[in-house]
Amino acid sequence: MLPSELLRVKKKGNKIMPSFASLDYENEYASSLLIDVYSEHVGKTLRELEESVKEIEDQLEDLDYHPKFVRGLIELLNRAIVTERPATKVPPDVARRTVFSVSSERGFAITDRDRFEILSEAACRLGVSVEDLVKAFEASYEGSEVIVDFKAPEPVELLKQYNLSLLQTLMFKATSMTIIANMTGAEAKSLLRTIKRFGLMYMADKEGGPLKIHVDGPASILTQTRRYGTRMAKVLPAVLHLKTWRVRAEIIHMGKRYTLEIDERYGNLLPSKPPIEEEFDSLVEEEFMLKFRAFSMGWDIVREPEPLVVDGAVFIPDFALSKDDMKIYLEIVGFWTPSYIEKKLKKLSNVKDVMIVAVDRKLSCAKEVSLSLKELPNIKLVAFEDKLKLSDVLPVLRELERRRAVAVHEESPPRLASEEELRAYLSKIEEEPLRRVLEVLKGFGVQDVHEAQRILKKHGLVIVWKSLDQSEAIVKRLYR
Amino acid sequence: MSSESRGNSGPEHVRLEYDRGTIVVKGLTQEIPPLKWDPRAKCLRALAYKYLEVKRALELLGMEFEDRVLSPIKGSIGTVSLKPLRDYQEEAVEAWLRAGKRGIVVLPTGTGKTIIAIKIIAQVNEPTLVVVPTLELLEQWRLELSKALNVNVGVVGGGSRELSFVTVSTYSSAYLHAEEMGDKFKLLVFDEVHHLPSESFRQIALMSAAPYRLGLTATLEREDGKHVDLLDLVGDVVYRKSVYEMKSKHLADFELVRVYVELTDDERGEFEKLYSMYRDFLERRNWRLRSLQDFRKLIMASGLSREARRALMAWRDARLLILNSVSKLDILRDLLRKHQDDRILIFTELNETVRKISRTFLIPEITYKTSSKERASVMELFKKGIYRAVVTSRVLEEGVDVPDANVAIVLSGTASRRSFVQRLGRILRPAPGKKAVLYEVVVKDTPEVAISKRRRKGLVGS
Repeated sequence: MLPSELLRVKKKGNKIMPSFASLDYENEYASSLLIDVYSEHVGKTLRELEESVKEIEDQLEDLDYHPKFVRGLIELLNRAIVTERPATKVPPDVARRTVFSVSSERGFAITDRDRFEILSEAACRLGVSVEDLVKAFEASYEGSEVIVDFKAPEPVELLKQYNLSLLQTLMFKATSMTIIANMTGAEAKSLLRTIKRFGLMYMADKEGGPLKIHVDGPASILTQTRRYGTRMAKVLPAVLHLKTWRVRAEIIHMGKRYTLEIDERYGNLLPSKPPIEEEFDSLVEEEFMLKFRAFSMGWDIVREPEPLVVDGAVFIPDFALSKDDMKIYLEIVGFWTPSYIEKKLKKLSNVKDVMIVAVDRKLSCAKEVSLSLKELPNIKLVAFEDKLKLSDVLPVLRELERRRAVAVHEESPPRLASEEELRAYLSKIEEEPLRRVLEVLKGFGVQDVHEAQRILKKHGLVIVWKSLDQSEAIVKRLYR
Repeated sequence: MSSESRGNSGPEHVRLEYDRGTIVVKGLTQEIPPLKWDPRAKCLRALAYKYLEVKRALELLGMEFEDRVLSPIKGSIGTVSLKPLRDYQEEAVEAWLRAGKRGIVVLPTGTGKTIIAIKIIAQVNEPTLVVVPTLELLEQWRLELSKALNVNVGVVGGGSRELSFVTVSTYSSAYLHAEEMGDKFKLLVFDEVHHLPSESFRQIALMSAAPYRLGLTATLEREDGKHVDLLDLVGDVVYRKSVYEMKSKHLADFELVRVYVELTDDERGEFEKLYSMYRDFLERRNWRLRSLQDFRKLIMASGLSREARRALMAWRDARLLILNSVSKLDILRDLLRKHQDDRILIFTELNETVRKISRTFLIPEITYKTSSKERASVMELFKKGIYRAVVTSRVLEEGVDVPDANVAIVLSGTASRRSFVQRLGRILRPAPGKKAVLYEVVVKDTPEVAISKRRRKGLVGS
């Protein structure tokens, strides 16, 4: 971010763009020239550095570099140096206080003689030489600091940093911004977290295309304000590393309104940030994911899948579970109150897909836990204790599979003519509702479950009972 | 968005809350002015300063609601120790209370506006935020408030972020933290309230739900005309007295002396050269600089063409030359010699000149770059009389109490009427038998003569 007087923009109609520095040979030359001056001045005073920088600045201006561009690079380099006050015999503030007091007593340094007498008297009072006194007196002036460290950037990196700063400085003048991007759940989560952390608000939209997030602040709907511009500028770096992105901002510059539009094609002019790492909101989620993967039953699990938009707000379920064309979301709820759950369910009922909402019984704010809330058609409410176990979720998945199976095959269970075909059928089974298997076996004269069990066993299959209800039992492969 | 799509709007219970500089109303979907529907949070919203208006609107409709807007800082002021108020101070307090605890008091510098504010804070006895322009004033208010009200005064600004029942903040810090502070106070006091209408600072007033507001200033009018907005932000002018109504009765007498100096021959030659460079550029472009806007145009152009940049540099150098003219320093030398027993404030426009005078005469300086610690030390030693003079740019212009100063020397300045009156005010604190002098040092045959005339217009016969 740069002081606003160093902002350079291009305007065309109501469009506005920062005057980005291209990464060409000329600009790299200016960048490296300046970096060198800074490197050479480690160990010297700030004043010496400033003088040398001024020379380079004039040279570059004679070469027709834009002075604001040069100044901008200098501004960024100034932030990369570390300075320290020079060591003095007496603390500078003591030296100054003594000199000024003596001067006031003696009627100020009106002549050179007065000056000498004042300084001698002050030096005498402090028990140092006049020379040391003057050194200490001067040490508090800006410019006397010594440069002790300088983290030299690469010339191209400095140019990219300059471009980002320029873009952010223009963003200071923004009244709102819209981020349009394809992102994963983790990316969206991290971006929204950044937006919220800066006290901003958003409204999301996703009509088939990429996610659109309109960002502004609480007071924005009431008054046209640039109050939130600085914070929007700070959100910007979080967008740059996405694969595809577009940012549109409404800008007020010199009393006029403009639109800024920029996208990933400018990415090479800007610094790239390393992609964010996967973070788990809680241990429950992490453990569940590991267990699920180890025992997948043909279901795929994706954590923080692609974001959904529910009534203007972005919603990222904890997991998406998918198998063939079936997709189901799983949301794990930690601390909750009945009214919170109710609100959440109401919100989620707008999601078209099936959603499992798993609620931690122990983390309820209410002592008496009753999950007597009515279930909405697309929502399965599951209560768990301590940890979410696979067995808490599996029945829902099975039910889904069964319903799908009913929808796809059940009207016509495979009609098998020969024992050969039966053997082939059984050898393919990994997991199948018992009901369906019995149906098939009936065709071969198998009348009861016990007989079926014997045949299945020969083929490495077992019947797993979920309850006493036969219709819930499944046939599963034990070995091959 | 139609009200049907706002979901369930049954006979839910209506609740007012504060949200980061705004007020939100939950459990209601009807857009009653000044409330607006916010689709992001699915509730009604208004700027925090509309708090009373929102409440009144709901009450008028006979609506029942729960009010959770304010979370005022708990506490109370201590035993008040204030010396009796002067008649006009008493009148000002009365006028403000009568106006419904809102409004602005306009009084010349040095007439005890702070006392009026303290009296009001004591009387209202609600959590109060005092907003001031500079760090000096912050420290000064903190001391006076804690002494007069016997409370621990919180400070927001200059690196501190402590909130108390009575808190002092600078305009810039109050702007930065407007969201967090907007629900914590019931009385806002704006010192030098003419600063408030700027695009950013006004948000301090807009984002606060505080129902009671007091503004203080010596010069209400702003060059951009935005002072009219103060009516909405703080309230009407409830009390006003001019310098001339107050002079000699409540203020020290003062004398205005203008001293003309001439540039040396060398300086004159150099000045003519630089100034004609600048003038020729304007003539070529057929520009006439009449206002600040015109001047901004030149600065803008300097970003585009090298010619404009050179003209601007020439103007700057010419100005520097006048400001730093040897003849001015000679006059200063004479004046310092003449006022051997007085307390002197020296004002000059540029920080470079401040530095030069400080180094030449060994006089302590205060500029915007001076650390708050050193500022405090310089001011303290000046008050104690250990330092007899201070040289400064614009920092000391506003309301900083320098009671014992009786000589002001203005070496250069802008044509702004306010800053001149305020500088003058520095040496006008009443003291028995005190006679104050203000010197204005102007270089002959340069634009400074016109600037000085414009500056004095504010005083003569207003």
